[in-house]
Parts: sequence; structure tokens; C-alpha cells
Amino acid sequence: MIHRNHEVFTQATDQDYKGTSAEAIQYHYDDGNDFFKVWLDNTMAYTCARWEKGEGLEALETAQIRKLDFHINQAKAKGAKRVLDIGCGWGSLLRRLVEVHGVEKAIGITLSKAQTEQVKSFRNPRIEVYLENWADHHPEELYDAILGIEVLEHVVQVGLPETEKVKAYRNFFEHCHKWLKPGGWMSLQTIVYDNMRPENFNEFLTNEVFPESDHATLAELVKARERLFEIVAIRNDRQDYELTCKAWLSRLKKNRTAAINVVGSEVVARYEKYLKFSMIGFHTGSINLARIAMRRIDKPCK
Amino acid sequence: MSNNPKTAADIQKWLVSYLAVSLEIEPEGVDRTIPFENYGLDSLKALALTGDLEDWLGYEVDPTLMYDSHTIETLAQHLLEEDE
Repeated sequence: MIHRNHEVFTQATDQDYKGTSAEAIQYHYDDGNDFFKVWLDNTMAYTCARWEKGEGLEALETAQIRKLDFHINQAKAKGAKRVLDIGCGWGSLLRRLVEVHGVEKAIGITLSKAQTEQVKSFRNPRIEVYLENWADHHPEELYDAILGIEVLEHVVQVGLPETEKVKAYRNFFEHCHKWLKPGGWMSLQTIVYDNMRPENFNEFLTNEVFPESDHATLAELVKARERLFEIVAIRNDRQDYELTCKAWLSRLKKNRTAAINVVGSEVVARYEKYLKFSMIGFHTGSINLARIAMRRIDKPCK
Repeated sequence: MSNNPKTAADIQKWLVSYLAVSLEIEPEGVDRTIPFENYGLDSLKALALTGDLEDWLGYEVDPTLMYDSHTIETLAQHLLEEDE
């Protein structure tokens, strides 16, 4: 299943491009909850954790929760009425928002059926989840805060020139701007290309396991948000991601038999390679992990 | 520790012959005192090397090791210390 040709998902460039298709997202994430359960921690967070100095790999879950709290603080979401999580995954952030940080309503959107079902199974009246593309999201009320943890990866298709990528990111930021209350904050986490040449971007992605997804450069994101959001803070935490991949790899190896029983040995081998490859990328800084705090610009100049 | 512990000399020898085969050169042409990056291994080859090394040693080896300016000599030493 995971070896399906990536070209199957390639779409023509057009103005209405909404990012990674549902088919591609389901190809990656609907390998099933059972496979990811084998090697992710209990939060099922499939994104970079936030580690403290001297912490061992066994602290993965603590580091994941610390990451959630970091973004909740950064987006000033504590005690807010309505918070949107774009690309909500298996819902750990949604739960954290309502269970620990007193948020009245946490709304998640995802393109993965397996993830939607998982979030619905919480049966928490303060959590809503929608199986839809962010571009199709039409909230009835505005949000106090928006969170996007490793969702920008799915906003552009592979191999676009820089100007087209910036357009796609701008489209994303325009939507966020429209959904957010005046003075609202947004916290983003995303992988960005750094110490590598654009002609090698594609080469990097052929070793990836995400079809139809590409990474931004920091410059593209900074350009795309002009006159929509002001940047308040940017952190580069690539070492956090190297450790996270290392923790995942170690757990996947430890439970290899269980993983193979769910998805077969080829898929497991592919994920192991992908995790090792990512470790090298974050270790050398060819890719970085950006954590960005942004505040809505309420009076954009024309 | 594995049942059949390897010495620094064993590990150096393994690395020399691995590089010789991988780069299609004579083992005598492999210098144990220069950094790995001088051999121009790309990331896929580096991954293959650490994977094979892991299998041979019988314990985990970081895939990033080839990027830490190690020479064959310092890498062998590092691996022994890690295993302790």
C-alpha cells in the first residue's frame, strides 16, 4: 500500500490548489491507528516533541505533552473560548486544550478518516472534529487562537517553484487571518529546508513517506505572511526532532514484530529508513524544525 | 556487551574493508586518520554503512555517526565507549 506510485496523486497546478489531497493523507495516516500505536507514545503525537536537557528517550511522552503546552502558551489559547487545530492528528492537542487549559471549545480538522474516528471516540462535547480540507473550512464563529503543528508540510504540492509555493502558503495564511479574531495569535510548527540547495529538495523527498507534501523554507513563510501576520518569535529546534525520530526508531525496532504483523516488513523497513534519514537531516541542519508565534495584523495596509 | 566483544582493532578493520568495497579501492588506500566526509559518502550510503555496522556489532549505532567528523580511529573508539 505504502509503495503506491507517488505520481498517482500528482495534481495539475491550478489556482484552487488546496494542498495535499485526502487520498494522499489517507495513504500516509490511514496505515492505521494500530501501526502508529506500536511506536508512537500514548499521546499519538506524530510530530516533534520538546525535550529538556539530559532527558532520555523514555521521556518521549513527557516531551510531547511539553510541546503541546508550549504551543498552547504561544498561541495564548489558555482559557480561550474557541481554538482551532489545523491537522489535528489523533487529537492529543484538542484534549489538552479542553482538559487542562480550560478551553471551551476545541475544533480540529483533518483529512484522515482514522484520525477523525479516533477523535470522535473521545465523546467529549467540548471537542469537535471535521473531516475536511482547511480550504473548505467555514466556521460559524471566529477563533481566539489557531494552532498548526506540522500541517504546512501538506499545504503545497511537490516540486513547485518558490513563487508558487509562496502563493500557496499565502492562501493558507489568508484563511487563518479570516478565521481569527482581531488580536488573535497563531502558533505553528513546521519542518523547513535550510542548509541544502533547492535542486536537492526533491531528492530529499523521494526518501520521504509522505506523498504530495513538500517543505517550506523560512524565507517563503516569512514572505507569505506579509501584511497578514506579524512574526513575534521563531525558534529552530532541530535537535528536538533528531531526538524525537531517535525515540520513535528505537520503539519501532523494539516492537518490530508487532509492527510487521500490522503492515508487513516492507512498510516497516521503509519507515525505519525514513526515520534514520530524517535524523541525519536534523543532525546536519539540512532541514530544521521551526516553531513560530504570529499575531494577526488587524489593519493590514492596502 | 555482546557475547563476542569486538576490539577497536576489529572495528577499524571492518570499517576499512567496508569502505574499500564500497568505494572500489584497495584497503591500503583507506586512511584511518581522516574524517569520513572526505570519502564523499552520500546519506544513503552512510545509512547503509551504519545499518550493516549495527548488524555486525549486535548493538545500536546512531545513523548520524558518519556526520560527526569521525575518522575510522575515533569512530572505533567511540563505539566501544558507547557499548560500555
